[in-house]
Amino acid sequence: MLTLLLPVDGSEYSDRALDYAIARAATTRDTVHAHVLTVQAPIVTVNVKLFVSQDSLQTYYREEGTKILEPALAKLAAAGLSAEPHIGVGDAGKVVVDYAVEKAVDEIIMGSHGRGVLAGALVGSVAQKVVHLSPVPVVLVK
Amino acid sequence: MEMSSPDFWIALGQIIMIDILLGGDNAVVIALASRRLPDAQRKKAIFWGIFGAVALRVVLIFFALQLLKIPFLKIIGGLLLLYIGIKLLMPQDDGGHDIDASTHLFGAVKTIVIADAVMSVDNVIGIAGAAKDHLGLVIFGLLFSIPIIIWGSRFVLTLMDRFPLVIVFGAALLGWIGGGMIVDDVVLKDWATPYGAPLHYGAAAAGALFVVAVGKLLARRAPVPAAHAPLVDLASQDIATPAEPTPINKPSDPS
Repeated sequence: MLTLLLPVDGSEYSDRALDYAIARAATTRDTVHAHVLTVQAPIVTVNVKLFVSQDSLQTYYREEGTKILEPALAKLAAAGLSAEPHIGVGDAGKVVVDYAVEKAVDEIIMGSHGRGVLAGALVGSVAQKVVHLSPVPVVLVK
Repeated sequence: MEMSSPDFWIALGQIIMIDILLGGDNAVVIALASRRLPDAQRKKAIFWGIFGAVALRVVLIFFALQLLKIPFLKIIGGLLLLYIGIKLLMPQDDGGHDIDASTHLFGAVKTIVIADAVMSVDNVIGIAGAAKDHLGLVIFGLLFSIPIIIWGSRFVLTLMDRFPLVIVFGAALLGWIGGGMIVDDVVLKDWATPYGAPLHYGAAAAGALFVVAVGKLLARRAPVPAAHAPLVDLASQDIATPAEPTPINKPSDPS
């Protein structure tokens, strides 16, 4: 069985990465199992700490993550791929690699760029970090 | 303070930092509070919430410089900044002061108004403390906070997420300003004047050290909140999973 980790963020790049993963799955005779993961940035600012409980913050992460996961899951389901949804919170690159290890995936397939041109230019790309840290092969889709 | 003096530029940098720390997430708090409202009302609540956050700062800043001349107010303001600084270093609370994401417009408005008031007060005290009675700097600090409140949240959240040191520096800065502010209070004037600048900077440094030490200590004691623990999976049944996801039964040795 081929196990794939598909990190998504709702951007066009991650959409194209899904397309690629579907095409890739079609070429193999193995059963393909996909883990679809989206990572929410933790909100650590002081006013949020003062006014928002851990509980509502979790709900917020879950809702925001679900918004991103649903279209991706629908797309994979339409292609007949079995997929498990995951929502992580933390540093995106690190969380992706942690999941890859925990779920023992064979491959990570993701977009080369995330959302937001400015954020990407300023903080460097998540993809770069994943490539750097990942113990398994990473496919970056442009 | 003249524009040619380094003090002016240091104060300016401090004010920018405070605006980022204390203004950058206001829009997030407001959005979280109005999350459960119907769409049209939510947009209204967010608009008026942000409008309130800006308007309150304008009103408060006019009073802040006068207010801070009243005995004990600088002490109280300084202590508040110390508290905010420690809070910045602490992990998320589990209970307590939960903003309720009310489904009624009135409930959401109430929480937004309270949050707006508190968020503005700490921001304005921070600006006033850093500006040290320089009116131009106070006005700059106020004007600068407005775009940060309105457009800055995404940038600020990313910044703090990617560079956790910003949080420690921010907490130390709040402690520095708070500590300096306490010994500047009118009540302590007679006692403090002979010691002059060394006392002010000593108190500022003590404030910064205090905030970082206490914040770190409390953070170490507090249990690691779920969101920051590794690999907590928030995906739950409410996401439509395709029927019967295949279990993973990969051999542990991939070779």
